[in-house]
Amino acid sequence: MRNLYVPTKAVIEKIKTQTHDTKTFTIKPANGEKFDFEPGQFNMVSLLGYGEAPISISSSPDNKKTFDHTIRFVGSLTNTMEKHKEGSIVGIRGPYGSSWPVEEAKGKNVIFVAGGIGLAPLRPFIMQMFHDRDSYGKIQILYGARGTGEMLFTDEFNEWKKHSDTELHLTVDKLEEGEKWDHTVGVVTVLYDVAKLDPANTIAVICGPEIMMRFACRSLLKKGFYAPQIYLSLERRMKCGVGKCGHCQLGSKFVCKDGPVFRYDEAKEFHDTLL
Amino acid sequence: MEREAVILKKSKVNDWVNVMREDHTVYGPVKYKYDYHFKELEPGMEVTLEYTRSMIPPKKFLHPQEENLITYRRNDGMETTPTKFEQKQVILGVHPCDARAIEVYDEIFGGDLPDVYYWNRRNNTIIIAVTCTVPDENCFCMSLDESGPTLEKKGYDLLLTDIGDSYLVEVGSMEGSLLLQFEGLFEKATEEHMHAKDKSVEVTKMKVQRKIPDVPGLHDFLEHNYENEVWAKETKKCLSCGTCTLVCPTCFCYHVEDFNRFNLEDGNRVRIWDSCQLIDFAEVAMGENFRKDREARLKWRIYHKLAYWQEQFGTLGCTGCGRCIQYCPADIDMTEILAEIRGDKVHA
Ligand SMILES: Cc1cc2nc3c(=O)[nH]c(=O)nc-3n(C[C@H](O)[C@H](O)[C@H](O)COP(=O)(O)OP(=O)(O)OC[C@H]3O[C@@H](n4cnc5c(N)ncnc54)[C@H](O)[C@@H]3O)c2cc1C
Ligand code: SF4
Ligand code: SF4
Ligand code: FES
Repeated sequence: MRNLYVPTKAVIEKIKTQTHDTKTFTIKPANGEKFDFEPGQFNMVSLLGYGEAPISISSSPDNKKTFDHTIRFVGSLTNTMEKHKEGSIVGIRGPYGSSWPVEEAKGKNVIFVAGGIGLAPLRPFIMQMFHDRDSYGKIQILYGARGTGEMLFTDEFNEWKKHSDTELHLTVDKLEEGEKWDHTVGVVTVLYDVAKLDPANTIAVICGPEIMMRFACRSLLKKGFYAPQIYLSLERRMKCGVGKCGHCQLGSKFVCKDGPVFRYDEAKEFHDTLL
Repeated sequence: MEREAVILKKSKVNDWVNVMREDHTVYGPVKYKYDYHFKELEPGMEVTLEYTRSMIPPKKFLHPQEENLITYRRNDGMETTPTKFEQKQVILGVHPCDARAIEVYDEIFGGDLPDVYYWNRRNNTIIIAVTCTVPDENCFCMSLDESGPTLEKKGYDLLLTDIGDSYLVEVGSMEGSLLLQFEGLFEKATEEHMHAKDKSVEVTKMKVQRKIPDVPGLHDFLEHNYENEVWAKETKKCLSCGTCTLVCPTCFCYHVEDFNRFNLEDGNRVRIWDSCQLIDFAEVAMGENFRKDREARLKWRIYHKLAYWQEQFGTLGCTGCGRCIQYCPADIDMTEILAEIRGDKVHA
């Protein structure tokens, strides 16, 4: 019987600073084995002495040699990650969880709605669509952050916009005194009018703080979307990632196993959410 | 004879324990202060097979309160050996409600991702169940399983039933029958002994008075009454102490912690029982807590066990053992909560 709780060794190949508190770590399994995952899945990242944390995979699923984790430094494990250098060893268990509706999205338009660090779990799906651009319709990426300094992957945005039939709309909650910004100011849902959303033959995928997802989902319904067209990724406390520790339970679901990606019509029926 | 069974004189129980101890670690219920506890039976200890309930269920031998998952040396990799069993463990005196809870555990720790630490213990465990004869006012096993105070054919390796001056010993598995291969302890059971058991079970069943009505309808009933004011009223009493989950034989939740030695090199990753009643159980990064209100936590325990468990594991998450009722310091009683909500509906 395989031991579910033993992490495999992996090496940090590259570290890229995203913001003042967030970095992207490119990681490679130490045994050189290929790493296969679906967009939307996560790993348990393990640091001996600091525990484990669920972290989404933020790189393209086409790359099977390495994978990325984009990590915000908020507590004991993540702050320790900040101190890691290229060549450092980490432990990995995964990939775990459900994935974004990559197949269902084929032939359809896709709207991404991301808040803050929520762009990281969406990025593999975006990359996958760019890689297989003709299989999908229009791509609209709506991205909001608290301030201009909180945005991830900004150096890739020009590249993203070059893809055919692809829009990127940005907004920040607030600007600093005298700060220059060519985009929108306001919460992410103000972009719904900027982007002129059309529910026909479209799915929407959302990731961000739960309170933001609440408004993002509800506003989509007001724009004429149906709940089954909307997918989102839920964050819950996770200690095992494999449906055993009980922490992530919501209704009869284990967010680690049955989620983290849920369809909105299912997710909004759970108690104990902000949705 | 349909059922494979023998007879063990009550006066020979301790002799039997002693011969089993030669090749097994044997645990059984022992009175300690006010309560019964499962303890390792050592020479001279009196095992009591006639008891109402142990404070902590026998789950502790399968999913111990603390389990070492990984022993690590931070710069030098890790060792991950599940606890080794030199001897099989026998848990003697497991009540039917607790034996059913172990079947529930088999589902939780089994499935498509089996938990090796659990199964290492489970596969080395022999369950000698005992038909319950002294249910008290907190027991409601009959609402959840019609066999109530006894087991029918599964959930045990051996099953003892008090039939006067002896126990009827029924065999549930090959491993169980191996524990009957001792000279001079057992006698053949007759049809009469079987009848004595059936009679005794009938009598005990009558003693189980507490009930949850309409168990199949519980899911819909609870969902329908999520906003009922009884919840807020009960929440005022609740201390969020976690006792109800600690003593519950089906509660399985744990958290995981790394314990470093003072050299900051060596350490252990350990899992420890946790409780959904504690405030930080569902807290995530940046301080968001999806069950920060006590009412949400109180409801979650009961909804999890009675409404959601069925879909997760194919059974309910309650066996009616009565522990959460007996040990709650604030007298919270889920059977009464349900009754009160039903009562409300009648008067509405
Ligand atoms: C499916 C999923 C995907 C995630 N993806 C990312 C990602 O791509 N990038 C990223 O930066 N963060 C991600 N997170 C959040 C990340 O897991 C937490 O920030 C991290 O666990 C905090 O650990 P810590 O040791 O640094 O903080 P701690 O010192 O443990 O505590 C800081 C805060 O984090 C909470 N917390 C502790 N443990 C957990 C846990 N196991 N799960 C959730 N919250 C916890 C604590 O309650 C506390 O409020 C994800 C979470 C989930 C559930
Ligand atoms: S919920 Fe209460 S009565 Fe039911 S199995 Fe758990 S402790 Fe026993
Ligand atoms: S009631 Fe609470 S502690 Fe018990 S299994 Fe459910 S979530 Fe875990
Ligand atoms: S994280 Fe342990 S059950 Fe989901």
